[in-house]
Amino acid sequence: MAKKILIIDDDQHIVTLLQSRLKVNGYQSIVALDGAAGLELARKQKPDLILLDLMLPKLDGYKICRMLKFDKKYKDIPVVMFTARAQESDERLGMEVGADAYITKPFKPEALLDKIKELLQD
Amino acid sequence: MGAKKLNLMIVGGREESVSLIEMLREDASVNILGVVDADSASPARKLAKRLGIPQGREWRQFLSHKQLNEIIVTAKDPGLYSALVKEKPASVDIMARPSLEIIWRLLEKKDKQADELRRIVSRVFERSPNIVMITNPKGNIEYINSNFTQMTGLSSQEVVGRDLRNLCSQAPAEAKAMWKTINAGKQWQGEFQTRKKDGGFFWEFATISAIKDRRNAVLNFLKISVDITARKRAEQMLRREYRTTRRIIENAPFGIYVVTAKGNIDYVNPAMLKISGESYKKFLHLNVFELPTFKKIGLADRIKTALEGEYFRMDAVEYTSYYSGKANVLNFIGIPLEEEGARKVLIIAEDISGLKKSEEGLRRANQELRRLDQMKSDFISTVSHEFRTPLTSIREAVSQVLEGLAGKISRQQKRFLSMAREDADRLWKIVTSLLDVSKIESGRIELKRTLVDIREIIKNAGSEFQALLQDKDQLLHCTLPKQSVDLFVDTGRITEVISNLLSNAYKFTKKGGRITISVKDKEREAEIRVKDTGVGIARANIAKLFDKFTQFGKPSSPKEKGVGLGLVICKGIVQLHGGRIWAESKLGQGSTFAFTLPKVSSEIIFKEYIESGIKEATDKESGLSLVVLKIEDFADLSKILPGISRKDILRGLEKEIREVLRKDSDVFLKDTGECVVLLSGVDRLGASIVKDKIAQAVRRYIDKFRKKYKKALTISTGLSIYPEEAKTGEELLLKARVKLKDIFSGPERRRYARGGFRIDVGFAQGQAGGRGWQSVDLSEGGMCISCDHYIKPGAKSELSLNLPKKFGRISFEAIVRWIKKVEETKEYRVGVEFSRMSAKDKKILKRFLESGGK
Repeated sequence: MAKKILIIDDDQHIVTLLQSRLKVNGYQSIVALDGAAGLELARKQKPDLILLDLMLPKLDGYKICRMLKFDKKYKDIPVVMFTARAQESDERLGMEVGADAYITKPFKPEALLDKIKELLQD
Repeated sequence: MGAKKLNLMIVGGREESVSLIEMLREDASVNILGVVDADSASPARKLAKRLGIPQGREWRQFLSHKQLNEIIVTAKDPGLYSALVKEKPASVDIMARPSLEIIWRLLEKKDKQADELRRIVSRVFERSPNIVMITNPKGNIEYINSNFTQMTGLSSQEVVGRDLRNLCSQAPAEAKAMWKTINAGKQWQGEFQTRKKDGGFFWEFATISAIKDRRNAVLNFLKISVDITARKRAEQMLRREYRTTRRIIENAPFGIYVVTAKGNIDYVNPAMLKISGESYKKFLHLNVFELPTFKKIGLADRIKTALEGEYFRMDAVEYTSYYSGKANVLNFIGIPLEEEGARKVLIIAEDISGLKKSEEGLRRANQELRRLDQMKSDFISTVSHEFRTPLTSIREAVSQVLEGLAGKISRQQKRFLSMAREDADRLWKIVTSLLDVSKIESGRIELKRTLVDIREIIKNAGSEFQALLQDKDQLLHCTLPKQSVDLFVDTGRITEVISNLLSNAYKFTKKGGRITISVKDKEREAEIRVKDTGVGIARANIAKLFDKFTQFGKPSSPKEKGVGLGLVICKGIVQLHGGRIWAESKLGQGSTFAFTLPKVSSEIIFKEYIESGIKEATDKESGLSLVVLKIEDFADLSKILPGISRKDILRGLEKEIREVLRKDSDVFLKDTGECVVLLSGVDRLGASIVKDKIAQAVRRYIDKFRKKYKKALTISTGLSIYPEEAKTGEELLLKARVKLKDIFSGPERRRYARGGFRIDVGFAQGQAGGRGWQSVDLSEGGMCISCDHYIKPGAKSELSLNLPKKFGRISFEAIVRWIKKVEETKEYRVGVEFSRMSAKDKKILKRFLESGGK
């Protein structure tokens, strides 16, 4: 069965392109365009991996990540954070709230796919 | 005139009596009955003797004289006078120390020509040290003494008959008052400016009294004066000086006032009134010790100390005047004064409100400039960020179409889309560069310094570059030292610099060219040079190379065109590391770009690192904890752990610690075996948890080499907290180092219970030992004890430990394995191994340890 990846990002263009890219590589994807919807979807659908943008309406990426990672039921879902903010402090904060990987926009599709493959290995 | 004959007794033998005798002896109406003095050799008695006037030492002998009707006492003895008054017959008159006036009156009693009399009187005045003048009631001069002549150079002939006013001048008002007084027969005192013969003046202070007859009519005026010219001159000078000083004080641009010992204001100058906005009257009403104005700013206290003689100065004090409410910024100076025995303080107040204002203005302008600069940086930063998201979409969309994910595309479409993707990549690079530059300019770049071998950075950067070089058939040659060149640098950033220089070299070098990168290991720095055989740079352009948006020369293809920010970034990064960067080149002869990286002592980086942590913590108003971890005997590590390099140990440790922390920049290792971990926003509890975690990780790591240990290895940890325990970075580091506590020791893991036990160590009888041996750390295999003297490792002892009651006492033989001096407490830490212990005692010890020492 195809692995399910949840994309939480408010940029419709990125989301469309990501979905297309993931589909080609054999992944199933679901989408949430704001933080609150993303968290709800993550809890309901229990995806295999989450691609999470930092700057989101309603609930930001840090909070979503923290809420998931501090919950026994969801803490094992790998989270890849991506954002346009390439500041060291963001990266640090991202790691602190428990993200498993951090990718800066614009990402090379290969790099992202490698990361996803690595995290979904077992 | 009075026909009665004056029968006189003179009592007293001094000069006055002599004058009296001389004055009266030729007077037929006067009969001197006797001259009395205790001393027969007194001038008056001598004169009397010569003139045949009766004289003696006892006044009573003359008192009985029937004719006696007048006694004149010139002697100064009041007892004598009162005795005379008591014993004399009632009919006899008595006078004590007769004034001239009285003598005059005496004389008046006789029919005698005034002129003649005055001639006699003048003899008295000739002897006087004073300047004497006698005038008639109108003020015409009748007599002057020789002193007058001496002073003025005018003889009697020249002066007698002239009006006093011609010679002696005074202010009109004063003259009026004087005449009024003396005409009334009263005494007057005052000053005259008297003309000399040569046209000069002298000042005299005069006493003028009227000489009157019995009917109180003024006969003459007697003016007796002293020369006060010298005093007057001094006075005038003083007055002039006073006027000058006063003029200065009154016109001084700073406020001046005088405070008395009671805190009242004695004097205030106009400037002070202007500064404070108070009226003169109100200012004098102020009391320094009573009003809050002075107390609040501490001035009252300073004035108190100044009253005790201490000068003071207070700068930039905000002073609000009591009545006017005017606020100023003043500098105060207090000078202790002593005026006629009274202690006072002179206060000088300088108004610097204006200065403050202009300083403030300057500061604001500066702030504004900085704000604008910040805005510019922010703008670049924001724009660049905003570019990234759409850029991601554009690139990814183009990519997917190009890769055929959206359906088949023609060759021509593919070619165009490739171009679009290349440009998207180029735009991406520009945006990244811009962001880097804005970060460097605003100082927002944080270096993650670690101890690295620069050769490795160069090798890695070079190998990544190799593929690109092949396109242009270029050769990259690395000249590296054989020994490692360890530096404290940010690996990522230095890689960026080297890649940038290599890419520049590649761009401006033709096909088949050669690029050389070399490292020179110098004493205080490493110098890295990137040399190419490219087009070179004109001399005039070299200086501008490191400016923003500078581009020279044409790269071999438009693909290679940059934005002119690469070298700006390189310069920023190298400077952040404390190094220099420069270029050497000649047109057509290739270029060399070189930079240095100083060999900073790890201690300096430690401190720098801690300081910046403190700054950040202060900005965020959060705490900061510092954990220090130290491998003791790091220098001898190769002996303790043969076959493992020190650097490998450090790297291994660093990796373990980082894993515990899950964070990058907070770990720092020193080439002397010390490791510093900064924990921001962590409280004491959190910090000690992290410290323990680190200790565990370190122990885990060290344990990997267990079998290889030849000797005990000690690792200590210490912790200090900002701002509770230390206010500065230096202090923080010092405290953490002082509090170092051993966490691991020995080739085997002997302790699982540790710390907190302080049990006195006992000695077997008859054995040499030290007093005050205490076990501070205990395990099944041995213990750490503290003692106050050195013990040779290898020494054996029979020892005992008194464990708490329910466990009892254990005895054993122990061998000293290691000893180390604790500098801070001057005591020794000694590690002993239990070499022999009974099974029973072993059991007790185990039970004790398992109980956690309770």
